Amino acid sequence: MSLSTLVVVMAEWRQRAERFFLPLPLRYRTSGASNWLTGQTHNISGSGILFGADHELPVGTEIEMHLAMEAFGKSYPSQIAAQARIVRIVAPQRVSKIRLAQSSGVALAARFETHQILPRQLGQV
Amino acid sequence: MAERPITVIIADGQPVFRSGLRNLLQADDKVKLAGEARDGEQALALARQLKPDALLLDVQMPKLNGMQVLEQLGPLTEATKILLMADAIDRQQLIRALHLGARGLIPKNAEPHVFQKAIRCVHNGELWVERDVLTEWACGSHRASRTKARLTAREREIVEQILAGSSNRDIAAKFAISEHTVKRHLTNIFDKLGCSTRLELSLFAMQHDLLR
Repeated sequence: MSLSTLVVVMAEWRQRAERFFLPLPLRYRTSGASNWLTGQTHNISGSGILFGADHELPVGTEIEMHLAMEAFGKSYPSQIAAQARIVRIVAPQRVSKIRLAQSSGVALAARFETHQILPRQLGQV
Repeated sequence: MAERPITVIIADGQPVFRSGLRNLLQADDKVKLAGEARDGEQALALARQLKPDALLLDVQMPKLNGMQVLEQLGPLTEATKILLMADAIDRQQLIRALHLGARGLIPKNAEPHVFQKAIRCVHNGELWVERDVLTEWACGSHRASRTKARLTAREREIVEQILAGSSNRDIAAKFAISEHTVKRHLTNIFDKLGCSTRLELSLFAMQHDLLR
């Protein structure tokens, strides 16, 4: 590609909020539940997450989540601990056909209400 | 003097598709089929052993998928031009693949001449992606490479501590600096990376392999 073409290509870029495609392993549970369910992120931003799940959860459901900071062969000694609320259920056919994440029955979109990055402890994700 | 043919390895888990691609490439006198792989582990081994000019790499394969092969090839992607093949791929996954060194994507339902043209293009040093994907990838790479170059050594150390889950107090104690100084460093880092929270910073650092 010529330099002039590259300049034109970059000039066409428009500002957008950044989503990160990071297949992070996660566990989650609804408020008050004792059992953890597992899943994997499809993408994640500073404000929310889309993740594969085996079962639907109603929109508005509050969940607690722990996400491991590991992807693409790299692992960091921390986790994301978050409280979130389900905002959307995404039909499976609308999620990528390339299932780089573990197979899942449905994708759930959730908005973070609180989040923090903590050292990963033994027994957690 | 005749130009040396472009050596190519086909890596695809579907025998019928592999057979069709084999026939196509064997009929092309500008291309030499160097090998075939039926799964990701075989693709990785063959690419490392034979170092072909090009690798046609299916994203979905047994044992190791195409993205995992791409990650593990690492610096070999400089010499071996990798073209992903897929029925469908998420945009962000494709951008991630470009970051890892892939040179483009060929839809598996493309016409035969597209495969031949794509191989020649990437062999000549070009990319084989849609313009808007290229735009997004170029700007992300630009931002990431500028960011890496602009972070100071201490700022990189602090990013590493954030990724380890350390609090401002922990970081201050580790580096024998005040918490105020830690916050000042963080403000500078956020400004440079265009992030506004520790979470965004961590995700950005992971996505762009900032600590490499």
